[in-house]
Amino acid sequence: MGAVREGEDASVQAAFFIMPIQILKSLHDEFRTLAGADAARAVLFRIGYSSGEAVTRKINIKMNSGLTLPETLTSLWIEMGLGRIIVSEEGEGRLHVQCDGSSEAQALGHMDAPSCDLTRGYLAGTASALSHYRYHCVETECVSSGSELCLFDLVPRPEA
Amino acid sequence: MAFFIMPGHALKSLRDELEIQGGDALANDMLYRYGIRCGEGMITRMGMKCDTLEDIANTIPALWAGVGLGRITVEEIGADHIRVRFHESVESLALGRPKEPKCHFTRGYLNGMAAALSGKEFKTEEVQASEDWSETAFVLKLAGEYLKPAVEKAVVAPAAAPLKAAAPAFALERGMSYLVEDEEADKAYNIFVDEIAHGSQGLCITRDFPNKVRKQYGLAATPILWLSNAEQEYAVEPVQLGKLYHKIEDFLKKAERPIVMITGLEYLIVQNNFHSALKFLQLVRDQISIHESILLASISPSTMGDKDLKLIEREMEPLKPGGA
Repeated sequence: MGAVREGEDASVQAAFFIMPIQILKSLHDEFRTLAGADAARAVLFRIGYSSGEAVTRKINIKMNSGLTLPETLTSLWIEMGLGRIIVSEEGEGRLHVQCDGSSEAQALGHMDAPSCDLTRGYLAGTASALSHYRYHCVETECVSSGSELCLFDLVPRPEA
Repeated sequence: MAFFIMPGHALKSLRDELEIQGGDALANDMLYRYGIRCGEGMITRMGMKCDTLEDIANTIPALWAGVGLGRITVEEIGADHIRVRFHESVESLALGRPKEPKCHFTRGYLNGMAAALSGKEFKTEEVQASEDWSETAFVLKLAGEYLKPAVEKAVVAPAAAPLKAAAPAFALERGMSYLVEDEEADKAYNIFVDEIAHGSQGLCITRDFPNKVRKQYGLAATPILWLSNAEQEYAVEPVQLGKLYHKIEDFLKKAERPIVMITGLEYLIVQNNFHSALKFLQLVRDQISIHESILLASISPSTMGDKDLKLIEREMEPLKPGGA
């Protein structure tokens, strides 16, 4: 972690910029129009995943004996601006995430199904960068479709 | 409005995904539009305003430092433009230092900030600032006043509703907002054109293509805002209710005997959500009262639930089809 990836300038890796959360609705709408609902979800997940990985790499938080993966993920998430999370371990590396005040859900307004795809990707990318697993993330409940909290399951896929 | 953070290289991921879906030109346009929304969102959040180009030039560099996309310095302030030079552009670095203007997200972000600070339209271009393109500059130029109020010299009456010379055919009261409930927007157009033919200065906000509206209703000079995602001077994205509100407010300040028409409210509701659209209408209605103007908004009642329609009717005076 922390190494500059091939072909990428060190200052790009060090850089963060800010976006208003309302942009997330535009991203969803435009990708859905362009590519259809399923492809849009996949695209936003990928962008979120690479962003989560990059932010974690830059902040250079590493797992150590003092903090568990859920604790590290929770503390790192505070910096992201995507909502507040509580992470619990479910065994075999699986994590359960409760997100209160999801920025993405707020931006999207009412949707028919769980739709926090960028957040889902961000969580998976962050958890992957913090661990030796490659995580996938599924949103099981979402504020935008009527739930009180957004709930995510992070499932590890052991690296080949 | 809150903010979230993205790493610099997300700009490359975003561009790559957009290019895969729609090609280079579409990626450029969309990144530019995203940038505009971000810039406007930031200023809206801060509630800042600037009166002159000099004020804008003094304000933007300090704000920009907090955005995280690089450093800028102001090189020039002209009568109608500001030129800023970019150092360590994150977008350029993320894209591998292209030797052509490629920082469309940054260009939009700056444009959105300048437009939101001033309430005026800007057009921003990226230009080469060093031989090897390691530095670029952005020229933020004041755009034409598309929304300039105008008196129509010769309105051609729509066939369905011949104009009467003596007095307006519809007795509308200034300071009022009217809801035209009809499946088609023809009635609203006819009332609007009738008011304009009798000396009001109008602003038409519609989903219909402006050239078609001009031809059909004989509106040569009346500004028409097109609710569309197209990148045109006369287009406003339907999700940009804040921007739309500011354009209406700006028009009302400048116009004499203003009348504003919004056709197809249901489209704004679908593109946003009911509560955002209702809040937008409430804000516009207040401005209409303050400026002793008239608001005409058409809606297709069959597209609305009874409860939602009632909520809109509470904000506006319903004009039923056929009633003058």
